[in-house]
Amino acid sequence: MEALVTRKVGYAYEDGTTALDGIDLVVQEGERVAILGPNGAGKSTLLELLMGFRFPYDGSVDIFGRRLMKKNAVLLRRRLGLLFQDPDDQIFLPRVWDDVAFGPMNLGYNGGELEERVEGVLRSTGAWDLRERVPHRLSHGEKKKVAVAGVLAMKPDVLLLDEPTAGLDPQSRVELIRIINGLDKTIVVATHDVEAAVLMTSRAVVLRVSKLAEGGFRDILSNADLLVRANLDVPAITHLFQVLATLGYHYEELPLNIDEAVEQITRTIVRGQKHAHLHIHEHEHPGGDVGRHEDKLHD
Amino acid sequence: MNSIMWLLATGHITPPTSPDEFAARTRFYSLDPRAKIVSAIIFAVSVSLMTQLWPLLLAFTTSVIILLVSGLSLRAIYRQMRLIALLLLMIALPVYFFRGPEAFIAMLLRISAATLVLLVMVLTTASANLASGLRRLGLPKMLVALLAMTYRYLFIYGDEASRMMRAREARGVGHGRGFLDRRVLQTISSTAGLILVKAYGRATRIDRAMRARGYNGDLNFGRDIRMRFPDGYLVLVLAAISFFLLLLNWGFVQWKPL
Repeated sequence: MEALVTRKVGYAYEDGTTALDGIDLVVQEGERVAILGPNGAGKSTLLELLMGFRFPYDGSVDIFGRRLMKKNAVLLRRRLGLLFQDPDDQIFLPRVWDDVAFGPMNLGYNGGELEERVEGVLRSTGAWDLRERVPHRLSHGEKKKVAVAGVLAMKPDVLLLDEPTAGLDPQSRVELIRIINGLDKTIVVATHDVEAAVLMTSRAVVLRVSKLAEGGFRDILSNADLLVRANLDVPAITHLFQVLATLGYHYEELPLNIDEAVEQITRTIVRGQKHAHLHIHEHEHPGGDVGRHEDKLHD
Repeated sequence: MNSIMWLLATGHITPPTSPDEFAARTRFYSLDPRAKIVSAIIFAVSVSLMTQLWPLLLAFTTSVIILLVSGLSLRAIYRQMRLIALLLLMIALPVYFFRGPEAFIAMLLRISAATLVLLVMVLTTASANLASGLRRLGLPKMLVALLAMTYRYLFIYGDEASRMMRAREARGVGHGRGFLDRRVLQTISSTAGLILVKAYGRATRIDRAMRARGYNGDLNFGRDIRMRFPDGYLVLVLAAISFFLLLLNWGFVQWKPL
């Protein structure tokens, strides 16, 4: 089923600046889609249109087959959860537990049922230990976890994430991506962090007021002209392979992340030396550090 | 709100260092917020009706005892009282000139006793519990939401203001001759204005975040608060003390401890 559909959506800000022009987008239920584009491309505005906070001056938005209008926005919005870019916009109550409980309480939950739901999401996002803390004492990464917990507590069918990795340190970034990848939901990620988008989604829509392209990451990242127009950067590992290709190295498929790169190199080595295998994996030390371990096996 | 922005921008007030954190370490923390609010209000209203020096001195002593029993750090209370003390003095000073030293002392004792008890009750309560208690006591939902969110965002704007202060100091803006310096005044005005603009933008986003999570006009607080024996005991004891002091003040009871 189509979870989200926009048809020829156009929107202009109050000062007349065009934010979006003729946007066609279809997101199937269970799909993970990235909306890529530079700052000011209209990504956040598109998410706000999907949430029914703004309404297009042109075109239409459908949520699970129903046309989004002012009169049904509150009802349809219940199926969507929006993670704001700045967690301080999202966490508005003075204690973590109360903030996460805010949404379910508005849905009518209370007592043991409420506590169970809040505990469940706080534990699944790794924010259980923060439950009694005051938000202004949390780090940006911790705030982000609490904000995700607050959204998940509503049990939305679709998760809209606005620049989820912005401002996060590498560890918090990895942790957030792990949490998001562990969710069995339709996910739309608006970001300019292509590397994170590759890890969280399976296809992308490139936006710069109008839709510039749509498709798989390999096609998009291979299109140099598109990347320049959309002001996007390719992941470092992908860039490395593109450079290697100009030097004569032939890959079967452009790697988008480290695992794919390892697979690609392994294949090359196997071909060249008949029987060799390179294996790189990440493992966690008891202290929590993530280490990289390399094994080379030769027969 | 404008004056808060102004004071934040000038660095004259900085948000307190999270009262919630030291509230949790006090003896009154687990008491029902409604009991604390009601008993503090009974005491404060009674004290405001007193005119005689003896009952007022006893009321002040009671408030100090409550402070000591609460287990609140004296440093914390001193930090909160600094600004208030200045305000108290400004209110009481004209009384000294127009009605003499006795009325001046009575005024100081009256305001200090009431303020101290109210402060103790507020500082020993987590902000969410306080808001929850106020709401359950029938305070309008809009007012409670305003209080809870002012508390939450005061820290954020405080941080924002100090970042802006540091940024302008890094670009060579000094303190000049204080408020008399035109350039300093201009910088402070623009900082306050900028904070106000940012606050407006944030308010819009917060509104959307609240609506995204089903906000229906009532700011719910998840905690289930129940009145227990110690809560009722607190209200009774403070009400009894207040009543006794009022009787003493109005001459229905004759008693001088010294």
